[in-house]
Amino acid sequence: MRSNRIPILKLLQTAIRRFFGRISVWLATKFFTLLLTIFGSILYRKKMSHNNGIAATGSIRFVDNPEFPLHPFFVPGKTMPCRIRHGAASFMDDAMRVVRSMAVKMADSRFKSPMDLEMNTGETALFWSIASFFRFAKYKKTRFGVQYEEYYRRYPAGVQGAKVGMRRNPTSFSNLKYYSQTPLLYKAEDQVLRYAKYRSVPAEPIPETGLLDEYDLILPSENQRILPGETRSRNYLKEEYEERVREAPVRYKLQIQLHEASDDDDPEVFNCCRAWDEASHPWMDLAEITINKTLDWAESTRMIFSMKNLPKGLGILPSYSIYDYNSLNYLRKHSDLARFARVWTIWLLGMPPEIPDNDVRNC
Amino acid sequence: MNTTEKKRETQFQLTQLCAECTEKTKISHRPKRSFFHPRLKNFNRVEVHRSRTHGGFFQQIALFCIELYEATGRRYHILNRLVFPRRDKIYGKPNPHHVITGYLTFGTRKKEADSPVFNMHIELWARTYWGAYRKLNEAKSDRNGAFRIPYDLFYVQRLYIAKVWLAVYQTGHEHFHSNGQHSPEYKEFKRIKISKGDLVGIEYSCKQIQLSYWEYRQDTPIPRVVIRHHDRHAPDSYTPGYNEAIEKQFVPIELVKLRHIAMIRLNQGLTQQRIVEDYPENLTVCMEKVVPGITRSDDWFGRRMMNGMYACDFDRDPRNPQLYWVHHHWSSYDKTLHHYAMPDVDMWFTLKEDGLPLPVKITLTGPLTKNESDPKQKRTFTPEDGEKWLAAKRICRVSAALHAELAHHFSGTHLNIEQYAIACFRNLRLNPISGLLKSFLRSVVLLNHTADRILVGNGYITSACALTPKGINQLIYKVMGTLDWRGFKPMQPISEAHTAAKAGNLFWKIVWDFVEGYIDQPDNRAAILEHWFELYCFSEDLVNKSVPAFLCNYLQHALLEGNGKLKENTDWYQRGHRMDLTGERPMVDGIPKAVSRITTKQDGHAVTESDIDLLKQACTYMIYQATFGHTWSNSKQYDDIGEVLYCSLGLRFGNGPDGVLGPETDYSIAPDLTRSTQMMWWSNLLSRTGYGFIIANEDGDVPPDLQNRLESHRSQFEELGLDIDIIQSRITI
Repeated sequence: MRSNRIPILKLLQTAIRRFFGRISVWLATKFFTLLLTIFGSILYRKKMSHNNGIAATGSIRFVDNPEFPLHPFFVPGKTMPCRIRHGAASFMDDAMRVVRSMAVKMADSRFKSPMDLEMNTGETALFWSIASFFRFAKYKKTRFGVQYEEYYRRYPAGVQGAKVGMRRNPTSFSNLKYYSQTPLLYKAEDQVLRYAKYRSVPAEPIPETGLLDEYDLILPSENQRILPGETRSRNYLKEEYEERVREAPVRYKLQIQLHEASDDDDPEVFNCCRAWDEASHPWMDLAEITINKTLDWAESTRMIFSMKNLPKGLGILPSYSIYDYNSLNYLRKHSDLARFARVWTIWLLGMPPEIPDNDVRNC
Repeated sequence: MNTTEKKRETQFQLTQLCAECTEKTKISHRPKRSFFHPRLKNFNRVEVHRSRTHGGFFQQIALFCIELYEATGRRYHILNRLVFPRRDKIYGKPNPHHVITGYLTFGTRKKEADSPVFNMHIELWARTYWGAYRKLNEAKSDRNGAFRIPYDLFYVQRLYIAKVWLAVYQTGHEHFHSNGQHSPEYKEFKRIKISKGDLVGIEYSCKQIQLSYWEYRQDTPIPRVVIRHHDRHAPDSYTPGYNEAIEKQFVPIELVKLRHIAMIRLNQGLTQQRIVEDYPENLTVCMEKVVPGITRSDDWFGRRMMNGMYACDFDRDPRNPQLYWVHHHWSSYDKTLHHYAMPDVDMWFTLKEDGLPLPVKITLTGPLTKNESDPKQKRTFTPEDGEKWLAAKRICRVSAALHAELAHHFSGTHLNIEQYAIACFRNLRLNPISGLLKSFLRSVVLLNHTADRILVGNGYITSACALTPKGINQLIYKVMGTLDWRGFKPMQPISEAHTAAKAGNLFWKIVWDFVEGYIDQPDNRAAILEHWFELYCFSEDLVNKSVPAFLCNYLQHALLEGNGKLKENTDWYQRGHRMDLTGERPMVDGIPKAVSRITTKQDGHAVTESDIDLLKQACTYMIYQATFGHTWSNSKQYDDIGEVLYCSLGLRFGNGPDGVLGPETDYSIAPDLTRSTQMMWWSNLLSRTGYGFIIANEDGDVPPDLQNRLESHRSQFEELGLDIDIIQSRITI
């Protein structure tokens, strides 16, 4: 017969471990942010990544009949101004094989907004915690369009994430699917604890482009170089997007996937390298985004997307160590210093130059 | 007294004297190294000319310091184990979602890099800042060599964990419990350090881990193992007891050789007689002292050819079935005939009443003097030829000795067993056959590594006979091509007096019963079937790396039909201990291989009794060759090549008009003084290991069951003139 006594010692142990874990997460985040502020934002006026991108404005309208327990923020039928920014990770060349991104700000401003979302192509990520992100940063070693060789050698999950997330020469930013990957809190009006993942897909059902073909799947993940004989320009994707928006509004669907929390949940639920089963966790429409104007390079560069911009009940999940899957969002949320430092440095020293349309490739 | 009675009396005298002298010259393992003698670190320091001993005061001090350092190291490890025991307990709660993965392959870089190492025991260890060991988990590599070790991420990342590593262990089954059973013993083979910071969860991949583990050499067609450095990077090692025994036995013999070499250099009148006298007395010297000329008699010649070190293959002459025929063929091998004679030898024997052979005719084919050049010139001698007959017998003894040394001893046991040893150590780990075989297959690769330098290649044999290194390799290659376990049985006795064959058959039966008992034991049988895949890979390695099958032209015509089937009426040829010509040879890339497959089945469920029988046969063969087969050809060298003028490994043409057919008193025919003392040194060295016997079981790795079975047949072996105490438990020299 099992004892009914409360395992006080175990609880105490857990509490102490969590306490020190939280301190380690806080320290790691501050340390990383400081480094990034000095060596990224101040010295080079660069973003953490995804420097190569284009921003645009438009509006977002929440669906009229949501199929999921409603959060007070998602008022059915409500329309809000919004901004988005499409980007490409690490390299300043649209023709390279890279992860593409989409960030959504539910306000027409540079920073302030009730809700920001950051999403990347691929349902799973290349890293899964602060610790793994630090390894990712440590083993970057970029050279002639090749990077993270050592990281991919050591971490097969990273290779998997790269294969799933990288896109080669998509025809447009608008026909890609973007995923938030790491789950966020979702506390609806019914007060039941849930976890949520978001994604953005084209409003019309069109096939996604840029998916890696057989050739690219064989190619080592670290090799992100343009294809031999590539004729597309370094900015072809941004130019295409500008052209497309000029011709007609571009529309996206923002969707949500929910998981109801339970005491016996496997921590793997939070693992951003694992997709939730779509049969038990269907994607449901949340809102429709309509983009009707692109922003210039200067405006795009001055924008800040932050995970601090989340409504109550839709925030990040707590993390208790740097190995915790949720620590990744903690890092994202608490590294705003680097973002503001970049904007302040731009204000002081001027705008970094636009990406030139020259023959300097793979950089 | 009539002639028959006289003969009987002579025979009795010979037998009596042989028994007395055998007892008198029995190796007592004396003299032994004294305190003031030079030191010898291990067997690999032995050299034909001047072994790398440490004689000088400072050298001995230095060696003492090295040994002290090594002993301190060993004691440190023992102390370390006591203070920081490696408990067999898994720390933390391994999480299946956080794993360390990788795959093990043989070889380095591209060589054999696709060959997986399966069933390898792998452990994940950590050490705390205060030195304690923490076992995090363990696993085995699968059939593809891949492994997956779950670990507790949060335990690994505790602040007090200082370092983490992955340890790959080789599995041994060498020491038996008192009940005759044994359990696997793991010895760390390779350590892969993992940065603690790199363990961040999900999957950490060690990718391909290449193990330089019992690698096959690529520079020879014979299956040999890679030994990069004998003392540091060898796949095997001698036991400390072995090195000690070798040093004690060997140093006094080495000193005699060194004295002779110094005398030769200073021209101090050293003679062949003096050389023989300086070494411990052997059987023939002892007998000659009592009855001069007795060891040069026809009776003695026949007796030793049948039951001595030579243990020749007595086939009936197909042209005259009344006679037995022994042939040594040297003309196919690369030779230099500048100094040494090396004719092909044909000997014919008749059987006496007592069952011992008597030589009746000898034919020598090839040059016998310096001036001759015709390699096909034949000369036949009979007992009526007086001095020439004596000389012809001497050539036959030398030929038989060299044949025994190269074909029976070096190729038939050393190299033959090495191919089984490599395949066994590469593939057998969890299968109980590993426990059955490994103790018998130990150390042979190290000995062969040393023999490459001092015996074959540019070693002693090249300098002591007409064979070139290339010729030796040709011979070894061809002999290896005739060796197979399938259908093997020891030579069948041709008479009651054929004690070599009778002892061989008795020992074979003992080993067979032991192997059968071991394999049929229900627990062993179940585990054998469970891990049958190891045997399949063992068999595949054996066959794939084995040399091509070889049958000489003469035997192809004499024994086989045009379609390769065995002819009828080939009873004249002893087939039991030779390659099975009735079955088909296994083919690899279209080449028929010498060694047969033990099994073609990968899975234990498909195994039948006939597969098990083949396994028993193969195991019996390996144990037999590593023990009795080697003992016979090795330990009797002292008796049969321990007197330079009686027998050596090569004879020179000499300066006389009759060339090599000159009398023994013509020292220009015998090996020169340097070769003579080296010859004596060899015969003493090879017969004087004094370590590694089945009965003595110095290392405690002989199965008790085999010991008991052998002990119960002691008297039968004694009747056959074999002391079971000298049967080695593995190839020790």
